[in-house]
Amino acid sequence: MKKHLRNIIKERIFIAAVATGVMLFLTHFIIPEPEQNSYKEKKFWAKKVHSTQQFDMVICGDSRVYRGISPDDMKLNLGELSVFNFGFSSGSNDEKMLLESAKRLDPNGKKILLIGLTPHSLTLFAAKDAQFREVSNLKPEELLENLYFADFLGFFRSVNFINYIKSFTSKNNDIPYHMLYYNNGWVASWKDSPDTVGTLDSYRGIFKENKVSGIIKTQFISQVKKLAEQGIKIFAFRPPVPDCMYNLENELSFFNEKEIITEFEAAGGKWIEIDRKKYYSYDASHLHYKSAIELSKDLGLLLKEHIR
Amino acid sequence: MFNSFIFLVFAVLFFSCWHFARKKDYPRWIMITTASLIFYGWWDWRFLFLILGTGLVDYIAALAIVRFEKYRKPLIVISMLGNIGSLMIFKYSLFFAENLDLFVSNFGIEPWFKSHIPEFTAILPVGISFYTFNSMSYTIDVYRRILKPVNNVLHFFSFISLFPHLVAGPIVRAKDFLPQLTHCKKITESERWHAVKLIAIGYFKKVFLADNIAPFVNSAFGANEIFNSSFFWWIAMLGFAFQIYFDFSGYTDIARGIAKLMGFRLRLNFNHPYISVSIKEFWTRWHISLSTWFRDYVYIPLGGSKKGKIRGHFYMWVTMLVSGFWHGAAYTYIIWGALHAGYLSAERIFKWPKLLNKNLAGRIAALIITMFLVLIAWVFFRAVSVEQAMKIIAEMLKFNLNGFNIETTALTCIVCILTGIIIEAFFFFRLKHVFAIKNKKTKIAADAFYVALLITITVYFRGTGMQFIYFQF
Repeated sequence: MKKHLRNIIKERIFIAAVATGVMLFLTHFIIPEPEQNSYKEKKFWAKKVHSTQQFDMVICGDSRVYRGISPDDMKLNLGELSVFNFGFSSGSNDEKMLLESAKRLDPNGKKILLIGLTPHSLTLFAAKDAQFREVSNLKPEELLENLYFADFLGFFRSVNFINYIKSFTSKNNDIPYHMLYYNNGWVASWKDSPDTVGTLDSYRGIFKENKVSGIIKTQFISQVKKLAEQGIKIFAFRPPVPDCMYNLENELSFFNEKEIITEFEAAGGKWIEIDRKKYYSYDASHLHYKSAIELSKDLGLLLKEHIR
Repeated sequence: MFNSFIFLVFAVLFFSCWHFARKKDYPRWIMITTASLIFYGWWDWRFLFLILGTGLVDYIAALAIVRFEKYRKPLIVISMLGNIGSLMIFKYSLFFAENLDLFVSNFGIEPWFKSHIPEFTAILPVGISFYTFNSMSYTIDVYRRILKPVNNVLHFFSFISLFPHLVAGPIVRAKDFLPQLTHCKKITESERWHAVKLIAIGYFKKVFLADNIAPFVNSAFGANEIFNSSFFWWIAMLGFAFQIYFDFSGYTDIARGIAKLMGFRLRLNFNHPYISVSIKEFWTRWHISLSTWFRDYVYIPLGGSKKGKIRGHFYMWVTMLVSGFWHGAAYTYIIWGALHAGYLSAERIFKWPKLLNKNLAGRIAALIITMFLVLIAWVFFRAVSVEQAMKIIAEMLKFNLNGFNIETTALTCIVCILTGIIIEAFFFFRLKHVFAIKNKKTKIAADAFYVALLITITVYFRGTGMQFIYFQF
């Protein structure tokens, strides 16, 4: 036995394996955690889509929702309710996504659906629900990897070696874009150097060919009615953006806010009016995490009145 | 893919059982075939029927060729039809349909072919170009009476489906590999070590070097307009040259290392092609298993260089054009093959490498000329269309001094290119003996550190996970 062990230790593979293990372990501590850890991100989205947990309140919408609402901060004023942020990148408020959101409501709970209604969420492009579909259709092994091995694989996070060297020598010219992923579905985000007009051009381009769709709007109203008839309390609000974006969207997207509010309330929903000037964005579209916290607390207070 | 988490799980499970299964023929063959078909079917289980179907045709045809001597020719034709037929259907049907439509439209006839080809032909089965060539080498060698057919279907499928080389080579000759499958070779500590080193080097080449070059090259070729800078395009093409080399040779190293751990030997497929001082030498160093396959099964059977100079040139052109076409159903690949044929013809006629290779300065000049010619050809290989390739070459040959913003992606690519140049220079100038360590204990420590360093760099500085380039062939 001892001789066998000695032979193993003499083997070059064993020596290399030990050296590799030590080097891999130590290198983890000299490689900084990248701003965007892809494993954390993959785990976040996989859990959001594939979790079977149900909640008293589900918040749905697009990136202004998943970056703009912190469920934990809502709960501070809302009371002891379980809240989940079910927003997605370019998320839609079409029939499918409203149904998916409603599926995540606890049938024995308060059954509250809060919709972040943006003009983009009523477009045909958003109705592709690309991100939701992509994560829903992950292969079993990818899902397993993202849900259960992300932390282990994240230990071996990679960085670009040029950026790593640059971090020692000179200022990195990229504007760091910070994102923190929370289990409640919120992504706290901010930029060190806010660019308040950054996304305006891209939204101009988006709304050139892609307007609010009559079909999606009809689906939205119809689904709100159906869900309201099932006893679900439905609230909606327009996520706050700066004036420049607000005016651009109203002008280019065919989003008629007054008409939509009227139809929404006629279908059984309750519109929540937000003072959008209270909050600030880092890119004219998404709220700085501090404003997201403030908005969440305000929404919590406003909703508390309605769900007593 | 070898660089996926699921493959790691597969490999651990496989090698846990392999030690026990490898000792006798039947368990060895069953284990190889089952594991390999699981490996292949994980991509798309529907195409298992294709590899099993074409494999069975060849297995039966080979037995029948020996049993029914009178029908040797029709039987080899059936085997070839099975293999080439599957390639035609899955790889080339869209290309031929589009070109037939274009041809008939010149006569005022409504295009019809493309709209009538079945939908399943749009999916290119992974590895089809490789396993069909493996299989064809078997039946052709049996036909030529240089190989006896195997009597056991599992033995045959172990050869065809062996997972290390199944999807991207190296192309394995039946006469070299079938005998290896019939015995349980003891793997020495030295062989195990070399296998592990090969695998570490393979992952380093693919995951660190090739995948870090890829973003810059992909953005260069994916842009709407051709960037107006010669310097930019020379960097992009050097980048692609090293990307495809490290990607493919990295894959082959991993395949050879895994096969070595199993107790099998796969031939060297890349032998530092970018230190070649002639195009002829390049083809003895690049994708060796494919170039020798074409030499033995196309060029030489046609007549090779034995039927006169002009015919020799003609057969060489046919071989290179077919080789280009093997890579993909597009004119860019055919032009790539034609360029290399042109280069080889020019070498035969003008014998310029011999004139230059008389001293070190001449060899370096020959290396630079060879690299220049290879890079020009690579433009067609990588470009999405002939038009794009021509525009890029025009830009390259302007030799203008327009710069470009060397941001992170470009700088990453340049550093990886320089690493590649240093590696190849090391072999060109034969510096291996200069750095050789004589003391055994120091050598073991250095070797272990070298492998540990390669793995650590690969893990922590890996590029964005890209599919192996040769999977598309």
